[in-house]
Amino acid sequence: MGRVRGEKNLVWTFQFLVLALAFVFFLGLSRAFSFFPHPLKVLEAAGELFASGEIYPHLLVTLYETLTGLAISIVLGIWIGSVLGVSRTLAEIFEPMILAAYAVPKIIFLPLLLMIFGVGLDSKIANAALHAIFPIIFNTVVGIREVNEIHVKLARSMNATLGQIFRKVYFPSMVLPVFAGMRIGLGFCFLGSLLAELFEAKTGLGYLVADFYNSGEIARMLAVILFVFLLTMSINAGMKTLENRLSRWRAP
Amino acid sequence: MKELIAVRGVRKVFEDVAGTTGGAVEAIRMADFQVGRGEFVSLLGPSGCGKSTLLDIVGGLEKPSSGEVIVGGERVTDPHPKVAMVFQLMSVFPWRTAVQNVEFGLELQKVAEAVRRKKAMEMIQLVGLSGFEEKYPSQLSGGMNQRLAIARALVLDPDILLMDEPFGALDEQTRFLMGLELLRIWEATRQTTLFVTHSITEAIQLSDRVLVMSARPSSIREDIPIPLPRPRTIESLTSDAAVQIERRIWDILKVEAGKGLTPNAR
Repeated sequence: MGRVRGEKNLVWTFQFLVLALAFVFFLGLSRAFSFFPHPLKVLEAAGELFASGEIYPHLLVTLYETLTGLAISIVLGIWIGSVLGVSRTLAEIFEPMILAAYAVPKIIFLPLLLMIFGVGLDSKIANAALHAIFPIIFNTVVGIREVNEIHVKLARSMNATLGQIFRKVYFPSMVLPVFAGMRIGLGFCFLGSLLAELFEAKTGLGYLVADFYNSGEIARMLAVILFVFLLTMSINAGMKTLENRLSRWRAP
Repeated sequence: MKELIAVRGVRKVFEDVAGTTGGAVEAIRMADFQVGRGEFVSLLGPSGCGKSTLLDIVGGLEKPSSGEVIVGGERVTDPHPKVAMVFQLMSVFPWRTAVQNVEFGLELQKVAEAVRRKKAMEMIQLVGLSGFEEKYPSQLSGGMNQRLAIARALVLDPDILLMDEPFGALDEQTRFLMGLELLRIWEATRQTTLFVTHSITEAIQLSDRVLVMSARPSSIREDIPIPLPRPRTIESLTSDAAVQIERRIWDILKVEAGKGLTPNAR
């Protein structure tokens, strides 16, 4: 226990050092480039954005787009992944195509999404879902294939119904890989909605970055970037904690 | 003795659906045997002889290509509620605690939570796992996990226990001790048991009768009674009588197991 605590302290010390170095680095940048604001100015701008309440509507829009996109990609991704996980034939037909689609930068489809869904929030949701669906599909496939046949056999020997086999064997076996897919998917969702907002929007954190950039308010732009950075990090950390709680039963 | 399990003319052919085995494989040519109520019978045979398949057929998990299995006077078509199965290592659910594992079958039957918890606790005590109720399988040894698998089957109060090499993945000494442990539990409950194994020692240690199977396509080669006194002890299991039975089984198996070693074995 003592060793673990010692290691944790060491990790925290280094993390603090890295943060301090980042501050110094940005200080250097502000000296080197005239357009780059002093890091304290950025923090100050961030404080103002929250104090004035200016950032909240944009934050809400981005969160709405991201979470709706995530919900859609979870439903579709688990459904598609389950079908591919169960059927060897369908997997053989579609897996290469999906893998290829995974490699394509999804942002290339944004103009198409804008034409289909309009310049409002829907196109951002669609872009977010498009970005997130692939890791969810793949992790669902992995989850289904990792279900232990002996567990299914045992449940069958006890006359379990199909529903019971799904709820009590498939679901708990798959919950970890699928959840990991959702965690990765959430990151991609943020990417999708922010990219779309940067490109064509009237609200959202991505729009705010583009807007501040266009009006030359670099300190405020960096403040939003810093906020997005911290937001994604804390959401990811929260998901990771939840994931660890779900995997309590795993060997330590 | 009135028989509880009757296997009549069972044959099993696996059709080559996936096109991987180059034609249909005849796993079991002819299986014909009975197990009396309260009897402990082992199916012993070389690797890949289809003994697990035969057990699955008795358990209603596989359908025979021809022939039939009668359990308690009824023809088996699906898993029978009065039959419980125990499989090889790692059949316990890693995401469930010990007591939750034992409760699994009762949960499927929608037994009230308080009732199933009480029954599961009793069973955990019977298999000697008291104090480990809230542990996860990853925190238990292989032998303890197999006790758990046995408790999970016994809690359903089955008439028949079908065991598919439950101790196969354990080391020899643990396996022997688990055998004695199984017998201790069995003496208390006297469930009719059909036990699949490829270990001659284990078959003699546990059984009233050993059915020796031939290599694939398999049939029952010999029905060998084990007239050693119960409860079985290390003395009785190393007695001259036990050694003679072991030699007799070896005489049959060395031919059958050898078939699996020749290059053109099918």
